[in-house]
Amino acid sequence: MVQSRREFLKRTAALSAASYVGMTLPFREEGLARAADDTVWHRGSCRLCGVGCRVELGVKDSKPVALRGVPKSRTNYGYVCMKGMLFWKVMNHAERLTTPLYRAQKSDKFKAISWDEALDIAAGKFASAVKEHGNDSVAYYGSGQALTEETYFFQKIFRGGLQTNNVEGNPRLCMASAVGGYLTSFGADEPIGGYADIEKADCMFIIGSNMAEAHPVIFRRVMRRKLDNPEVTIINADPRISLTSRIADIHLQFKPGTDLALLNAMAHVIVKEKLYDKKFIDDYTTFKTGKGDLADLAQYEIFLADYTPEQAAKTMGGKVTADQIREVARRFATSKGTMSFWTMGLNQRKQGVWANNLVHNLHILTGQLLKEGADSLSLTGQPNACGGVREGGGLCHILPGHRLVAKEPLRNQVEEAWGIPKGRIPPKPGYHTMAMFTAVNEKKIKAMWINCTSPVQSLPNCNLYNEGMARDDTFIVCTDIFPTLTTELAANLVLPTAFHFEKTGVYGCTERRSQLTRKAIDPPKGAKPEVWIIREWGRKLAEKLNDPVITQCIKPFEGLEEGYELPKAIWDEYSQKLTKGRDNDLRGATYEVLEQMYDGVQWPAPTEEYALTGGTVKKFVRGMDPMADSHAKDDRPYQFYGPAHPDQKLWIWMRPQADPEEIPDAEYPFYLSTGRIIDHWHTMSMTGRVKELLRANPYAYIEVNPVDAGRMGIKPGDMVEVTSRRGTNVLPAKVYEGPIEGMVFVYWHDQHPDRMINKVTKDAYDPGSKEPEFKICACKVQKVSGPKALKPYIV
Amino acid sequence: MVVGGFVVQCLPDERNKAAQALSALQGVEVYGDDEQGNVVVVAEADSSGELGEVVKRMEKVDSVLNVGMTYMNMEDEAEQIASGESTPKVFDGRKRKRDSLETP
Ligand code: SF4
Repeated sequence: MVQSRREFLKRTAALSAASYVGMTLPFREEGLARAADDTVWHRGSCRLCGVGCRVELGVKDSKPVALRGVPKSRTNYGYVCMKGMLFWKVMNHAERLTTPLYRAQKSDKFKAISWDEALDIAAGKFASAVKEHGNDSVAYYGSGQALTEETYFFQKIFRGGLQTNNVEGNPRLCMASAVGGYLTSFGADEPIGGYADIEKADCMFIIGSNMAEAHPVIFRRVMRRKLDNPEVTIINADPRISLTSRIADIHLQFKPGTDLALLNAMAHVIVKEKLYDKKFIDDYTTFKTGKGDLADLAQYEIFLADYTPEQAAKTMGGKVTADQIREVARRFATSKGTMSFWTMGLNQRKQGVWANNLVHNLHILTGQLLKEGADSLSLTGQPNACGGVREGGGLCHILPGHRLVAKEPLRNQVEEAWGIPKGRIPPKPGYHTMAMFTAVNEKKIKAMWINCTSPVQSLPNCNLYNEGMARDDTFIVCTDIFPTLTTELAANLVLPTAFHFEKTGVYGCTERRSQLTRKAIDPPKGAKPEVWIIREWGRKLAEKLNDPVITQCIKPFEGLEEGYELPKAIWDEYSQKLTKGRDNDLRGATYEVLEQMYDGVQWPAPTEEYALTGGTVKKFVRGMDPMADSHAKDDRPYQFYGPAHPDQKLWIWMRPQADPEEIPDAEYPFYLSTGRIIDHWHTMSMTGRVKELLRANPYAYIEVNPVDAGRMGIKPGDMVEVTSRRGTNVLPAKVYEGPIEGMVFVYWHDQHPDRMINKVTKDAYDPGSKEPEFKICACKVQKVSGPKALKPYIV
Repeated sequence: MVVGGFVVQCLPDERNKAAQALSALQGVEVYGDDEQGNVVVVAEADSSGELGEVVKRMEKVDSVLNVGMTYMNMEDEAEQIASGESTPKVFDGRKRKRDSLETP
């Protein structure tokens, strides 16, 4: 019996793998089917990065027992990385939070209380803050991992109910510069194309992204493309050689913060050698000076005069030659289809929006856009930063459906959809993330709700902001599945939530694709889905503030069962009423449609019939994008109908090279950069509890270039102190030809007080996107001892 | 027992060599290969941790470019997690966590 079960599992495993590559094995699934009857498969998305891989969770006797990829999904074609394969192991984990915990003072111990008491306290504290200190004394700080229904519902209560735009989320820390870049270059947020371009691209330009570790399944597609077509060019530009560089034909290693010079130098070559697409520029492009004034190609050429490849090579630190820059620019411009990929290396910068603009410039100049195999594709870090937070109204300046808070007619549309009085949503955007935590420090925020994220560990220069969060001046509620550094240090009230697959909702990944995950098992007893928590809290708030408008905000959702009916009603309201006619039109992506799809739907998708085809693969192209047809202003094949560019054109920006906020000097002579490792997710509260993942990478280390290590007498495993003007870490060294000379690199997941690198990073931010410059600061480095035995640390 | 299904990517010319080297690894069975250099492999191990080790060994085989995972079953381990049996005991932080909770 044991033998046959084993044989059955092995054959199932073989068949699953063979089906992905179309290989025929000498046995078939049908013969095995009967034995599989006891496992029920539930389709959904992986929640551990922005790729959006589709998986099926195998449930047996109400317990998750297996996971497999969905071969027909257009995101991952069945492949799943190790982290994704193991994520479900946190579901039945013994450390799951299962009862509300409360402490009046943050120095007290938590006491288990009932849900009724907990929601009463939460409502009481928010109500009294509003009454005593005004509407802007309360705030919501959410997450790119929350479901769209959750983000949408939270912001509805805060904006419509509590009348504040203090609605933010951790995507401010990762994607805000990409949003700023798309809006200012293309007039509309989110990419034009998507993953489907990978299999058609002939040149891929990867800058500021270690996609091999941060987006492994997409990287697999890039690699497959290269292996099947060795003539495809892969260019990797990064101050650090990473696993991604392995497949690069050309690797450009430059001094941190000098990539704007590289991108301008590539444009210089393209313009000088007339490699641009003249007709595309004439038809679809506007040139803009740095201040936003109108300009033309001749002025742009003058602007680029300073960026000769020779000059840029010098600025970049001398490891890249002028000829390499020319070569890269030529291949970029002349390939049949060029795709760019980037993530935090460009976004988490003081010049984050500018860096994004400069990548888009190259695509606009050369017309490497809108056709198969060509796209300027920002990879998202989190599974629902795009869908929930960017589209669902999760930032202080935007309302659902890509509407700006500042515009009255757009506010009125939202008020009308919610059936609340006109003028109820305040006209002023709220605090952006860094301003919000500064306001906590300044005791201006009296009650704050932190959902599904751990700012105590993830804010830059966190020591500074943790002081405020630890004080009793701000009452803090945390909703989460595990204890985190934030629940421990900052929370007064901890509310245990349902995990992925224990509730229902939609995630929207990198490529404008919304995908549904349905509830497959019950949450542990005592844990509740966020949508239920918001509704129950909202009802108590309405009572305590005696405000019928709050009652109106939750009215459509009263009485609904929370595992499916409630999130469905929220999604219906959002998609049908608030995306109607907007560029992210999701009216066709109803639950009924999403349930039928192996993957999901790419917006715009105004009708169900259209959504069932999968939606829009390429935005702005007539015949491929229904809105390009319905919003066409002339007969041209491309129509840029996005909300931010009144001239309906793509904009090429003149953005100069500019230094990061902090550059090395005599006292702090090194650059510090930080990033992800393949096995861990963010602050490790989940992956640190999966034994296999923890064992693979039990703690963070510091990567030191061998030349620097030699000079400072640092050997592999030695304990190294890294100090900035803000804080210190002590970590074991990895001596490695990764970071460029003069730069060190630290992984940011570790929770241990000695190895929490955000104590050291800098909180300067981009003036446009308000996204902090996590990626670059100045530090000093010294050996403090030989190797030491270390233990992993999870609160 | 844990079972995983994989597509291992090799250089097409070297797939026979790679398939042989993979078969020689403990717990690894090769089910087939194709002209694009895909090798279909099933690996089994006592725990998912050990399976991770097997993956690392597969990755180290010369001419293997990538090990792509498509399926994993660990029903035995799921039982242990559900019963709390396999919670790692290595965290010194847990003690602090318990400290922050009032004991009834
Ligand atoms: S690549 Fe990302 S979405 Fe895909 S399985 Fe891995 S962690 Fe999950």
